[in-house]
Amino acid sequence: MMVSVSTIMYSAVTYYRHERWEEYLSIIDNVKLGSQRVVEISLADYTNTTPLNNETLRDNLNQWVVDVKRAYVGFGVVLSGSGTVAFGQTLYAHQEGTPYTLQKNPSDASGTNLSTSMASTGRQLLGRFVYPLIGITSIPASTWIVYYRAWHSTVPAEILINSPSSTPAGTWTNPTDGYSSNNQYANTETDEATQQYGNYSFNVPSGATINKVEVGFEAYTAGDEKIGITCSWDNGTTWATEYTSSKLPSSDPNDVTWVDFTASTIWNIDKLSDANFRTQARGVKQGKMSTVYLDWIPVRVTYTVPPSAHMDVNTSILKSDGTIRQAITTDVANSGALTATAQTLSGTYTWAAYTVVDQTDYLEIDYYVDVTTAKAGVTAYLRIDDNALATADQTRIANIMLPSEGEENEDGLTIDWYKPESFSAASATFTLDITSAGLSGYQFTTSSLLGVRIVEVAWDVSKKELTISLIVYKEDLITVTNLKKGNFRVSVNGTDIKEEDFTVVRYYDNATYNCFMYDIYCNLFKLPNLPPNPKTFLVSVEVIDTRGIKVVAEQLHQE
Amino acid sequence: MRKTRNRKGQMRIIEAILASFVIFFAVVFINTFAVTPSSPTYETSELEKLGHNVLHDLDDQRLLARFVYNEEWKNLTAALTVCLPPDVYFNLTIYELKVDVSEVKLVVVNDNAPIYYGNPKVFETASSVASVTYILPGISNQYQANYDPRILILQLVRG
Repeated sequence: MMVSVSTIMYSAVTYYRHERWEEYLSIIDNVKLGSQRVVEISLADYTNTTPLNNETLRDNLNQWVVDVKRAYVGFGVVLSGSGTVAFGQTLYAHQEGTPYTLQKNPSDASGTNLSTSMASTGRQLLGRFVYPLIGITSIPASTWIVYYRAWHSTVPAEILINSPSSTPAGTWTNPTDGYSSNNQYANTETDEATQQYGNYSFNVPSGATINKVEVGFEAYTAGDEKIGITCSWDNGTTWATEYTSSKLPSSDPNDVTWVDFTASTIWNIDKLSDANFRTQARGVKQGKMSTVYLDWIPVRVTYTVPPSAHMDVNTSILKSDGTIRQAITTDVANSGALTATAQTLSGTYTWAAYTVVDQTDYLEIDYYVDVTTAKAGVTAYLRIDDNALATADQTRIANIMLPSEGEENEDGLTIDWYKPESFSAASATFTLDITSAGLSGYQFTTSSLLGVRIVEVAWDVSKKELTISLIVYKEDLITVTNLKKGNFRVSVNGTDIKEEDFTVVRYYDNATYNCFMYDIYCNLFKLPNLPPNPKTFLVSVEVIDTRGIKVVAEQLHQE
Repeated sequence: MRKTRNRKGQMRIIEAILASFVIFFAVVFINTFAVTPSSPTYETSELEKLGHNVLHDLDDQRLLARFVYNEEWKNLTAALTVCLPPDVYFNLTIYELKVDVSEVKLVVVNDNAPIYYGNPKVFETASSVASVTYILPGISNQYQANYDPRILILQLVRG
């Protein structure tokens, strides 16, 4: 019986381990990789042919499905394919329209600031932006990168003027009369006699930035004496360099002279606490010592408490009548913290695939500032549609999967060139049947993309050297790192730069872009008609990658 | 009055569990031995998998198209020799699809430069020869982009 059972089991496991379906998996692998290559070949051919032949992918797909059938004759392999284009694009925030609009073209106006008060906590709407979904059947899933050009206004300073309420040490007469300006005086007629004051009871909010610390004195003398003023931030262990006044007035001026001790240490709230902070007055003799009178020794602290806030968005689908068809997400793509300096913040958001219900609908994106620490008198700003800003600093959303509207958009091929961010792209969806294996309707999509983004152009007038910094990326926004000098063609102001006159350097930028980049150093000594101090450069960079796919990016740079 | 409980049923369950463990471990044990089948049918299947994986990997690294379209036959032979086990002999034939008016012909591309490893007579005498079909659509690189398919037939046999 054991022998019989073993035989059956052996047969069973051997059957399943060596069943023919493994061969079909091999066919699927081959067809998928081959299909990817067909799309790449077609895109390479398309981008290198003048005029553009947008039938090349369709022709190749048609031939490919026939050839696959021929190669696997007897397996019942049937492949069909068609070109479709939808890939990551950037929508820029524009000021036109009500609500505002999102457009594929970068900013084209002088810009406007959307603003809201930061006087209360919570999310405050800055602006609503819409993008029409005409001609779009779906928005595939992708990770959006939402960029915000945002900041908040200068935070008004707050001032505390506090008086002492203790006299930790000293030899002056009636020292407590220095607590307030009441025309009663602490005094000394002893040269070098000191009197310390403490317990100023400062209540500076946590998170505040201390901008200035000043010690005041209201004093006079019966003779020619001066007064020395200093302060300590560690309970008398360390003292600031003492300030010595000029000759004091001969009567009470009823006015406070302020001495700035801001630079004496790096101030913080702890150093101003009663446990640490104290001031000191000293009588300074001039000739024969006479009495020095001190009416008041206050301390003035200037500080700011910045608000705390970040940017984020809501997304939804809007009907043509302005009502919400579907709220997609709330409070996503959170940025870093706003500061008093304008900066380009960003946040990411994973968009799930959405099938468009009605092509008269709109994609709506609402920009918010989320205030976590409020501050009266402070305003949050979002800058939009400012053509004076670099593309990288525009308020925009990158990597939204939308159909291309490049120069050509037929049969899954498209290019969008001669812009700071340019690309060539192709995509095709296939359906594979293998009847002998019972496989039917196996769908897969292959895409090819080459993108070039010129991020910076810099001109060194002394070396006559133009530096072009750019990022080259392919599908899934993976940076391309295997390019060499021969993969680049550069022209400046319409003149091609010879290969011996430029150098290409690849490096990893971990300061701003966190990716591999290329710097192209162009020596323009030999460039004809170059004025002595050129102000404008039309930079054109052509990239042909190792797959033969071409992209031309262009940027107008003005010094 | 004291009742006596019948516990025989519990033992049956324990026996059944133990028996299922024995069967399970037997399957695992036999499965291990099933990796190297002696049957010519299964031997062929193993070699086909091996051959396909090698071609697919070379294609994935963009080497296969380069070797084929640039006719780098020595490099292609070396790559296959390195990738396949030493006891596996191969013979690769590359065909070009020629379409006449009414018929499609497969024309051998490497007719004058056979791509093989091992004694060619083994392919005639072996009881099981595996055959892998692989299709390349064309080549695209910095200098050319052509849809021009090639069909690769890789024969494999254990020496």
